[in-house]
Amino acid sequence: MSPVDQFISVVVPLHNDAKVVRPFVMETLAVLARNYSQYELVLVDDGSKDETVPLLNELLSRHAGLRLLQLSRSFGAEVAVTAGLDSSIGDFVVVMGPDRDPPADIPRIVSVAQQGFDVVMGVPDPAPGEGWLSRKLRSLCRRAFSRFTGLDLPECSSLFLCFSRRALAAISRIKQKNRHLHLLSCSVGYSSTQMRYRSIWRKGARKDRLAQTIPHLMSTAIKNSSYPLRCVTYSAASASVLNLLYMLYIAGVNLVKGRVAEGWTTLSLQISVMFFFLFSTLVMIAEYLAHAAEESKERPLYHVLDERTSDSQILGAQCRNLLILQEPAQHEFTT
Amino acid sequence: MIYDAVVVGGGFYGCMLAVALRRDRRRVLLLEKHADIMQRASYANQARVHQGYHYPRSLTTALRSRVSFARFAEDFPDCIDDTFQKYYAVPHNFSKVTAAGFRTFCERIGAPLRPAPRAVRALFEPAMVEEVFAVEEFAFNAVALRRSLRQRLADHRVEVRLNADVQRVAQDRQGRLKAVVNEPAGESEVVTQELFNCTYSQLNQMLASSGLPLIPLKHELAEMALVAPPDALEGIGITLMCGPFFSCMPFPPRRLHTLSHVRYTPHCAWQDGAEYVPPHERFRTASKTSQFGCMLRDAARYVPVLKECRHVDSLWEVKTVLPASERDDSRPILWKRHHGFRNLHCILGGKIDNVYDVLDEVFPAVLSRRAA
Repeated sequence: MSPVDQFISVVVPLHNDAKVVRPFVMETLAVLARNYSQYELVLVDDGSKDETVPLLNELLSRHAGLRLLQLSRSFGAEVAVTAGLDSSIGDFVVVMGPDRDPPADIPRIVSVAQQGFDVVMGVPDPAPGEGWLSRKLRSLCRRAFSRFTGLDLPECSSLFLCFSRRALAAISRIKQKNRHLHLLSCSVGYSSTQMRYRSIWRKGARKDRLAQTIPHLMSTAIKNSSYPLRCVTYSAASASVLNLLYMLYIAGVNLVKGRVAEGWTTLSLQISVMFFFLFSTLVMIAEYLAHAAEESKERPLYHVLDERTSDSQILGAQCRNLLILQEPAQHEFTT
Repeated sequence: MIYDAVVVGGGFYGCMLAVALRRDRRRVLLLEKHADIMQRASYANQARVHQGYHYPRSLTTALRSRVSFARFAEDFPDCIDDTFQKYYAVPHNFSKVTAAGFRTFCERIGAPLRPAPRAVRALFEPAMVEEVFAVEEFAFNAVALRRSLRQRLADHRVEVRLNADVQRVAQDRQGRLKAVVNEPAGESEVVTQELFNCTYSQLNQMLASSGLPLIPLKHELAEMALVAPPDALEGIGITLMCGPFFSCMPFPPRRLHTLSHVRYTPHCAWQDGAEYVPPHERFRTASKTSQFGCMLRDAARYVPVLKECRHVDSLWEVKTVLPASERDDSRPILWKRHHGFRNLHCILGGKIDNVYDVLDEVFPAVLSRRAA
């Protein structure tokens, strides 16, 4: 299949985006029509309350190559994108936001993917419309993420992504509820790369609020990593070890000093023994919780990247498909 | 000569009606504008003999289909192709019915349903498809059906005129209908007591040219890809229920499979309105760029082996529906008596095997209450 024959899908989550949707759709369709012979623009409406849907219906009646998926209520951009990905049929699927990501860069991100990368993550040059503090915090969180999960996330990423069909098939097999696309695409392990691009700022686009950003990042971190729970395990384990040492100390004091205040030994021993058991139990519970959390994500055990066989087979050309019967010995003929 | 009844349109409905009319009319004439009967939508369709499975959102249609099927099988035993096994699959996402819901539905209409064998289940991508069922659904062979109908028309002595295109209809003082017919030999007039308009997508053409009110009809330019199926799908028909999915099932006359897709089979849609253009005219001039690529790309996500399909050809036709039936997926038959003129009746059916609804339910009413 030559690149010209390839089908390109563009998936866009929309939520109360009436102000930007028309220029975005027009611009994107123009770019797609100029560059590809087969394409679709999948617009996913994430329960918009404003004029977005009537606007989209009007666009749908006028232009070819559009599809609208209307979700019943707002489920969040990541779920909206998932719905769009599940419904798209392209050989390469581009995900983008309507207000910041430049449609003009679609051919560029697709061509990077066509070079053989299954996941291309767009990294915006100046994070648009973002305050200094928010940017710092976000980058800090991302770095913490990478530490927690052991996955290589880009420093600063947006929704601008491009997937190959096989990477998408692998991602759609993950049934996890929390769908952080970058994390998911990293976790399937297909070849990925980053692409820097200059983001745009469409009139009427919404600003990111720090107050929304931080809780979102926090919950994503907790839902996607058992590292915080591991920290609990480690501290509880060390606390129980300390209690064990304290018991020895009490015994030592009693042996060496001989005269201690009445009741101190019993009380101290009782407390330290209780805490020892308490923390040991915590360790076990935290471990099981971490295990259960990992299991409940229902991730497939592995994703196969490719399967190959050596060029030459063991059964080569010299092997004949003949059943050779033992020739009867000479003497059997002589009577 | 004055005919007792004239049927315009030699599709399946027109032919069946003409034969049925002979029960109590002496002179029945069938007019067909093409060179043979059953050339258009009666031939170019999915060839599915409905058994009800297809209508989980319309119980009436489903139940009627089951009743009609038995009659159809009895009437045309040689036209039914039952040499393949049909499977219905329910996808995880975007389906308007769940596997459990589909099972309950089939129980209610009494349609047999079994879980698909493991080898067939393996053809479907497990991440996309919730469950696969083996069902009893067949296809009809439109060419065999044509042959059978020709025989019936001859047996019942229905006069058939091919290449006869009805231009317009008028009514004279005595209440007789006069149809102007365009034939290769020239224009002529046919006089009849009663006229049945069974021209499917062209239904409004006769009405428009005769200055009669139009019936609100919606048309789609539909494409079904004819494919040579991969070996794994030989003798197997597949339908995904119930949403923007696809069907891949045998098309007996060509010994190929049709691949049709809810999203990509309709290329464009329009409604008959003020500036009336006959659908066949639109059909002739429409650009027919195949959407087979889209159909295949989507279908292969559910059934990966479909990638090996070879596109041979596409069947193109105008599909006509009543605007009312779009919402609940039902396919009621349009039956409009005395439309515009007395004794001018319009009939439009959506599915071949539901013809008995017209013949049984509606016909006695007309026969007894025919306006003199």
